[in-house]
Amino acid sequence: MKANEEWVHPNTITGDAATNERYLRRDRINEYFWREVIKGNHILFVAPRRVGKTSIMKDLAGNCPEGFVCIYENIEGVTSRNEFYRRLFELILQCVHRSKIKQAKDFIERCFTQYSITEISKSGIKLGVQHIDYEKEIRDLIPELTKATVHVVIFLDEFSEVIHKFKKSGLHEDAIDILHTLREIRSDDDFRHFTVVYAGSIGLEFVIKQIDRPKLINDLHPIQLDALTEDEANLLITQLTQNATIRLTENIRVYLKKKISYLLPYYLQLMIEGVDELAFGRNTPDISEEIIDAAFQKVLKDKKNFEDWLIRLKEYQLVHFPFINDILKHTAYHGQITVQEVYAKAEKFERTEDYMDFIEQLLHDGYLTEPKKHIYQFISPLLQQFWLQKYPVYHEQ
Amino acid sequence: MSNEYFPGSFTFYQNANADAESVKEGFLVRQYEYSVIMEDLLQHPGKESVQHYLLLGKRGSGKSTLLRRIQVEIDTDKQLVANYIAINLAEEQANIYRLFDLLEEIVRELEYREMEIEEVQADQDVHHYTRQLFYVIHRALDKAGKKLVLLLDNVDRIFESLGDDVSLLRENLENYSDLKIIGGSTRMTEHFWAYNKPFYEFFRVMELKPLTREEVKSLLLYWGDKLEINDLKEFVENKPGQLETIRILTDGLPRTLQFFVNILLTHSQETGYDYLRLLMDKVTPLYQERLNYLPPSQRKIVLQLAFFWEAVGAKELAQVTRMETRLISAQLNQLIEKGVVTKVETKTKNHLYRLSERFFNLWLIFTQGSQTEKRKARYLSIFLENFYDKREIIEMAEKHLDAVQEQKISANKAVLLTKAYSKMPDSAFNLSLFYYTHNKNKSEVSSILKSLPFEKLDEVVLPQLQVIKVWIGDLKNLEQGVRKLVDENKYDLTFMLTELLVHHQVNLVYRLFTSGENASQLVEKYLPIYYATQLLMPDAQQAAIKIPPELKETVNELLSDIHENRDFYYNRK
Repeated sequence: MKANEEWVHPNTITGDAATNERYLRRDRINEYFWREVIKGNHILFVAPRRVGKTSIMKDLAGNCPEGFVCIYENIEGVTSRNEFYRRLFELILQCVHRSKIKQAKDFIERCFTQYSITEISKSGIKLGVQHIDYEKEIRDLIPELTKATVHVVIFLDEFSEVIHKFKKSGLHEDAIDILHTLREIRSDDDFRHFTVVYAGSIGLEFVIKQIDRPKLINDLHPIQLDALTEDEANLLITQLTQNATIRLTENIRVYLKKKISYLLPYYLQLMIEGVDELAFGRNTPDISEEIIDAAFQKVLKDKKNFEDWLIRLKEYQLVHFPFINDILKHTAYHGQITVQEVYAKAEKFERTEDYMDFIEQLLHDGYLTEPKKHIYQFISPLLQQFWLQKYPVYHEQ
Repeated sequence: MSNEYFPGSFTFYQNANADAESVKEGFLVRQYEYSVIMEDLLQHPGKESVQHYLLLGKRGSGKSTLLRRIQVEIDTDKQLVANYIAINLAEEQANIYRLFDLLEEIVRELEYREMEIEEVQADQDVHHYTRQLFYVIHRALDKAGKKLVLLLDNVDRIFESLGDDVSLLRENLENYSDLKIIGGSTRMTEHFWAYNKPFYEFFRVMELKPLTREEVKSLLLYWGDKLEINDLKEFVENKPGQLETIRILTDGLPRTLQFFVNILLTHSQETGYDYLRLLMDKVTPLYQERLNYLPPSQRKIVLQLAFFWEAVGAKELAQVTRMETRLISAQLNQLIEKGVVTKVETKTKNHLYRLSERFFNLWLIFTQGSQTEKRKARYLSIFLENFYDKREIIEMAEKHLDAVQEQKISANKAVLLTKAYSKMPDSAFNLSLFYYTHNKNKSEVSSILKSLPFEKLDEVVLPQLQVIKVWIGDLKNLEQGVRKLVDENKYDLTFMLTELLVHHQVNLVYRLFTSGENASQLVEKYLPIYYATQLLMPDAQQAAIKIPPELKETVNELLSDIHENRDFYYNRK
């Protein structure tokens, strides 16, 4: 019963964000991001869930260039307008507090006095002053950052969830107020040392569309997050398995990557975990194509709830489900669908006026991705396989 | 619930109370999951990302034991003690209604461990109060330089009660790396898989699957060795069929296996069925409580689902329960929510349903079923016992032949041959059987059969004779002959039915199972063969989804044998 005691598992992480040695930095993303921030852009990360937004944001926040000081914060627990501003206010102070520059330290010292701060730590801030108008204080505080000579970058994760939640719970006006304030801050020259980076599991554009205020975010610079390149995937496989017992030859790596197709770190890690479990059970460190296939089936079987993806689609696209499903079936069978093919289908379904809305919806909801302009494919190989199993026969319409 | 043979070392229901050494010593299965989690804890004590885990498994699959084992290791391993605090909220979980309840429990535990923790004033604003509790917990952990490993059995129930607070929990898990959740759950609730829920695919899910044949064998041999009980080793070696029957019909659950060992050592029985009967007595308090907990209408549905055994539709359930289909559907949805029933998707809107826990299904048959239902269970256990005994003999013969004869004749055939020679006096028939097993000299066998004095043959060989006739192409009056054997109801027909399938007589076998006076009894006696036959029919996919999960492995083994033998007889190069 004590077999495999010496077995070393791959260094994967699935679920929570990957950091440090579990994360594979993609310099192209970091360089592009900082280039845009230096230009004065405020960033909006655009990607469905499980693409790796949080991991990228944490890495960016933890490794910012000289002259910048950054903080990452998930704010999905915020439930009121005042709590949001208070949180932002505290984040600004916590962020500057991290800087080692003398001017920044002086700035913080002044804040200690002004707000009777007794403590700033990573757990939060203790203020002596009660009943602060945090929105006003933020407006006063940010221009002062010029004196601190640091550029503050705050990564607000799950910001769109907060706005969405406000809307759902009847705090529509509060949501608009926050969006207005942030828009004003972005456009004011006095606030040029301050950048907010937005992200969320629900696309912010989608939420804004719901509250009918597109102008409140149309100045944000969207950064689309995509899959790993072949080389990056190789690096990640090496990183995850370098001390592990399992061994993947060059050919097997090629096979694994082909199996996953769209190389998101999450699915790569899921597959490696599946491979490790099977190999452990058989006490076979050398991985074969057969184990890769079995791992794929195992992961597919373990993810028991793909049915939900179909039900969801049927529920909120009751009328247009046949059109959307035809797009997905085509994509599952052919591995991809082009915009021309989508249009041809739209003609048959008489949706040539708004066919791209459906594509945007599928992109936003994590069904499809757009690896190249106007070419769409399933974001998850598992979801694609589910569609193939669900519709074993497909007649092109 | 007595625990005669595992005093101290092994406890059944409340592993939270076992002492550390006993927990370590008795921890034998779920090694993969344990090693993954331990390696993670040892390699990532720092500030980097935190992997959270969800251990998914049926009751008795070893979730609590695994959680307790992890706790013990964290509490006793020097390196882990230096970096972690483990809190296992096993009994206190009933008090948790809101997120702050959970956090208050954590605060109490930290105080109990004499950690420095700031006081939090109770607040009317629950949201603010919850944040304050998080704050003091993070502060205390930071000061102590440790991470908290929160071991939560039935984590699904906790998530259900948290409501909107789940966002606050996730926020804290994302912003701080000092909290790790390892949860146990009997089901995947939508919190863990729905795209619009905060914890969508957040946990690494590790499913605690039924123990395999090899794992069960190793476990019993280990126990036998550890507790110095030779009977266990003898049982494993001499009663493979009984052991496999018990494993299959009790969901391969470690807890049930412990019950079984106790019975084996205190009240040795003749058959696998007898062991199953005694096992049912052992689990009765647990399952009776579960049954009583359901409202009467749901109890009725659950009982009928158990008696159907295979997956059935709402319409069929409505007929036997005399309840409206609409009402049945609503009750089924609630039972699915509770994890008692599993929905089996079909191509149409009419889905099928079955009880999720198969051992619970069997318990209901044993304890609440009529004589007919109990008979079904007995026949099934007899079939499985014989089937796996025979397979074991074949496996042994294979090994033997590998060594001695370099596989000059098929092992399956060799066993059959040995049995035939030992039991049948008529050498002409034996020669026919010999040729059959070697797929040779069909014309000679035709001549032999023509001159064979059938009246002098031992009637035990009659089913084999039918098979040989099919093999040589003598199909005259086949159905009549085969039906006669079925109607006489005194032969073991396993060989005949499976070999008829080998020789492509699927329609005939299917008719035997579905028409005629003895059809239902034939199904009862040879249930796995009945399912295998269905799977060889054109609408196999529809049939496959009805098969009780505990029988799938056996049915697949049967099919694999059939295909292998088809290759032998029809595609031999």
